Amino acid sequence: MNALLRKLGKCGFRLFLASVLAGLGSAAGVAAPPLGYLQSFGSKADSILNLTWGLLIISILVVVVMTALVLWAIFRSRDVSRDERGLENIESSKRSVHVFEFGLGLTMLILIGCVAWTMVTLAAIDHPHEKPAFTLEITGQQWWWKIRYLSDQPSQIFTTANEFHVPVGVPIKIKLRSKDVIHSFWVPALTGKTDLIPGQINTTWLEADKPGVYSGQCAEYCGAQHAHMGLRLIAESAEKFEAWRKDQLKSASEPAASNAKAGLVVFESRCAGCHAVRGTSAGGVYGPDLSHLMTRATLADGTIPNKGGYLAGWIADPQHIKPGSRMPRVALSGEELQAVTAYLRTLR
Amino acid sequence: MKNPFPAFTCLLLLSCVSACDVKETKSTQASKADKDQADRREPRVALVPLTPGAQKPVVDRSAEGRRIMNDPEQIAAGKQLFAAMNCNGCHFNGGGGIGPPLMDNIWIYGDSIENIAATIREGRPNGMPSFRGFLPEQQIWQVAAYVRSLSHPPATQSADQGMKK
Amino acid sequence: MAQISAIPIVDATPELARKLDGIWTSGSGVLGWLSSVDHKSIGIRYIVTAFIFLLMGGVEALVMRVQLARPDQHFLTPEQYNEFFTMHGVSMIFWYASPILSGISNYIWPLLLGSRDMAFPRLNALSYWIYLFSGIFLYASFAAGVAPDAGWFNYVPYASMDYNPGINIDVYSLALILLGISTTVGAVNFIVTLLRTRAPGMSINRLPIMVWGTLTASVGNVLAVPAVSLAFFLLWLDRRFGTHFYDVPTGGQPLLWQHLFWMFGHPWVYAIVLPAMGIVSDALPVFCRRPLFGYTVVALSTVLTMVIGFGVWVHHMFATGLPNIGMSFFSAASFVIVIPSAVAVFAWTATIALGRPRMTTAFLFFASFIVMFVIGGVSGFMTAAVPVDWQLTDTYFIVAHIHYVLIGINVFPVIGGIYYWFPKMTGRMLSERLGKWCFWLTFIGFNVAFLPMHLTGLRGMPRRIYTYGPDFGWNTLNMISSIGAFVLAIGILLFLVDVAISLRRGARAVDNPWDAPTLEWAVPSPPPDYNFVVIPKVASRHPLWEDRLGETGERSLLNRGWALDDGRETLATTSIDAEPDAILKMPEDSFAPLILAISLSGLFVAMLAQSVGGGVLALCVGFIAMLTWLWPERVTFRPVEESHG
Repeated sequence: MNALLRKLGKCGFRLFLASVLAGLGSAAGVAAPPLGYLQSFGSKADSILNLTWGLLIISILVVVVMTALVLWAIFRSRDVSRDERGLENIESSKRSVHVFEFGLGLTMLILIGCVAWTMVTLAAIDHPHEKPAFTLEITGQQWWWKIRYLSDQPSQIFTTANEFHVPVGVPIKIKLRSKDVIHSFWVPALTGKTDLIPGQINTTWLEADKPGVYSGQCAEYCGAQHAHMGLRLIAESAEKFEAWRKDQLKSASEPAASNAKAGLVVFESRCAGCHAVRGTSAGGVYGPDLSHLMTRATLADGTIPNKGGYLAGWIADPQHIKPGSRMPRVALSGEELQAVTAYLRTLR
Repeated sequence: MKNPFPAFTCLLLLSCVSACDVKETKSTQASKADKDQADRREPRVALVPLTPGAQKPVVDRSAEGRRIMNDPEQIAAGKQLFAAMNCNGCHFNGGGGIGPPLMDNIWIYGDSIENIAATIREGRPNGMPSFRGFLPEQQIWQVAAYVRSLSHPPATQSADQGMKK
Repeated sequence: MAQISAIPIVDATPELARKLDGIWTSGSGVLGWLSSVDHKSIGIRYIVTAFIFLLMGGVEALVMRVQLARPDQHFLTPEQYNEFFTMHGVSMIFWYASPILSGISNYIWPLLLGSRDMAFPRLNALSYWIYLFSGIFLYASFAAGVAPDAGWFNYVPYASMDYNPGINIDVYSLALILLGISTTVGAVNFIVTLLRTRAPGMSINRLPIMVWGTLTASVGNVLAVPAVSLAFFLLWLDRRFGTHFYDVPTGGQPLLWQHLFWMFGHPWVYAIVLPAMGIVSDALPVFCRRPLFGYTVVALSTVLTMVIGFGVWVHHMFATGLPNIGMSFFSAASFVIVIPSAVAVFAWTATIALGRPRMTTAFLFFASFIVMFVIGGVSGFMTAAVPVDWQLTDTYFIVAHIHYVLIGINVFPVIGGIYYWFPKMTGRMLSERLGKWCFWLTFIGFNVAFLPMHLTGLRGMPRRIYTYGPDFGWNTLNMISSIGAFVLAIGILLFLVDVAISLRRGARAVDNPWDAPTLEWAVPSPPPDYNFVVIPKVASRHPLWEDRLGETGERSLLNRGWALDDGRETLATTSIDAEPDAILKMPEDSFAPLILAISLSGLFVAMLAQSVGGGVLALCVGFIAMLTWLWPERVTFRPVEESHG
């Protein structure tokens, strides 16, 4: 029986080791998951990642060593001369006490080292190494993000929702506020989590060093649709970012098609209570700013893609797609729905 | 030792099963309500007791109003909309300012929830804007429920109210 | 002080046993069961009730795993999912994890300590009844569809009136405050029992580690539970009486909730594992055929863990924007708390290495516990670093961590402990064959469910989401975890089947089937109501192994001692050295604890319904029950001269 268990033990142990390595490989692999953080793309996340890997490797080593030790302790060969019901001789040999002390001492050294490394990393990422290029003010609410690009000149301030762009290679400062409950801002590839707490303004910063699309997610339980409160950050070159920014500052142009014109009328009377479109009389602040809706890749904060019939489907019955969301089911007739969708499609 | 635990276990597990009976929230109520919206006409409400022809004043009680009036979920939703639609821009937090106070018991246009909803829907002379179309029906009722709760606080938020469907 | 030397020391004879039987046996039938204050009966009730809550929490978990097995599922609505994950956490952490350990401790402490009962038997009964009624109070909300849905941690503002206007959170608040009464009362009972009612000679350095564990947990509970009761009480006031403790627009602070809650929450999680670690420290050496390696450091590390445990609570709040200097202190403390745990792990491993393991089911649970302790410990160690915690927190990495520490450090020792003590409690052996099946299914199921969760968390899956999209790379991992969860459930089910079958048809157990060293194995299985015929005198940590260990010259005296047979009596001793000090008169069976528990529960129902009349009525009934309880009709302390041998 013991021999069989010994074999099982060795087998299981090897399986465990293999799965751990495979798992890590996949987490850090080439096709890194969108919200994974075992790959980093910015200087702040780099520092955090080094510490993460360090602690992860220490942890895995400790687990491997201790599991091996326990298995060895159970299965090591002992002389069988003693009878079944007898007791072991308990004179603790000096050697076992020394081994114990050695293990404890090693543990303490590792822990002290980790404390020091943690403090150093914490101090390093507290402030960006250069002055931030600009400040974002992000207000979390159930269940979307209002993102405002701040500036000294009021004419350069604009608002968008859920999706935002930053230039690569420069740090961005972010002020975090909440309109209702506690949320948490998290773009794993670029920065750790910072909570959005009503009644206070938390600050964080991030920097993207490679162009690309980075996913984020609200990371503090905030209600029924906490699952559908994502973020999309697009990092691009300085020129592309400038172009995008200028675009965002523009007002929506008059629609050309008659369908869209009718849609504008519907929008201003039925949707403007909650939504704003720069350049029209719609100035609602309860829902996301829709001025450049068609530049965003998703609707309902990452719940559905912004293409095809999704937009009409969302407007027709938001409660079906994101039950509990604050957007009510607005009773529009078929033509009104088509018209307003046509208008919204012109908002680039 | 007698063992009452088997029966006890069954009882508790049964209660677990009935957990699927989660009370309705805004979302499920909203979908249901809006689906019937097209068929339901707005209730007729009278503003004054005088009508030509010595007829009785008209006040329709609405099923929607009755349902929403004391429901804490709806009142909470109405409170958020009150701020979002900037009602406190004129009415402040019920104390009044540019617009009349909403916390007191003086009602120019009637204090039933149907009257309040009509006021929000139609707008009124001297500055109350109309929200017809601007706010969906369901939301108008929610704001009306909240406004009403400012002067008629729902009788203690007791257990039976919380469990009302 | 009584003249203790005047009490004669007698032999343990069958006549004396019969006499004590007459004095101590509880009444029969339902009424006898309801009024019993016997710690063994109460202990078993605690264990059974806690297992019922474990099952309910487990069913909730399985339902959630069905919902999460694949992306974009609609098996549960978001509202239902939120109620399920909240109730799962609440049931497991509050209504299972601590009561099960209270129950095992309740049963076994007087037997381990050589006493006839706990220091306050009626308080013991009260603590159980309140626990039961608070659990019913909580689950009634589930049946009515108004279960709490803001998570077990219940953060404001989401848990406040504005965002959660139903009575869900009120039920949670009041149920937990009620449970807090039970926990506090029980903790006080343990502390006094330890300080007062031990067998003579059981000095502080001869206590089983399980006693150290529960003692430490009890002191921790007494200090920590007021924080959570206060937090929930203030929340209830905010919600129903218009106060503004947490209400932001009027000057309240959401972070106040988090501090109060975690100031309780962190010591609590140590309170629910230290007694279980104590179970392993006591039972593992039995199956290694040698005493525990490093008794003194293990006992000290238990206490040190709880002490440091009061200084780490902010590590649950690293992402809230607190200043770095404050967070650094708590980060360092969170690293340091690993040290006492490492001491314990090394001690257990050394005990196995220097011993001769017997591969019983109990041993398998204890040995695997060590490995899972290490895994849970290192995942916690990773979160102690503030910047790393900013990535790990609120992801499934933490879910993996908490289940390794809760299932690995609480459930596994509990099941192992039951395999160990079942013969003593019931007089029958559990089936080793079924036990091995149970172990392997539980162990494999648990690891298949939760080991991949570390990876799910590292791949970014956040907690508390009712569904997820298909493109995040979490699909396979979630499916694996769901399958593992069901295998784990089958393992637990098998354990219950084993218990059910063995109660009827298990092999009869002798007094000491495992050849274990501690005092409870010196009495018959199951023990008589009076535990010991004569109060033993203890001379070492291992009274029943003294002959073979040759530790000291002295020998424990088990068959001769103080009879204490003049009504229900037990011996009181001094705190450190356990010198006999006085005779304590123990109470007869009583309905007062039950009535008081009913009245307190009624009071809380009245508070929920905001009914003043109901509250007043409940208080009156409670007052009458307390009068009955405290009425000085019986002498509790009798001078020695009047007793007889």
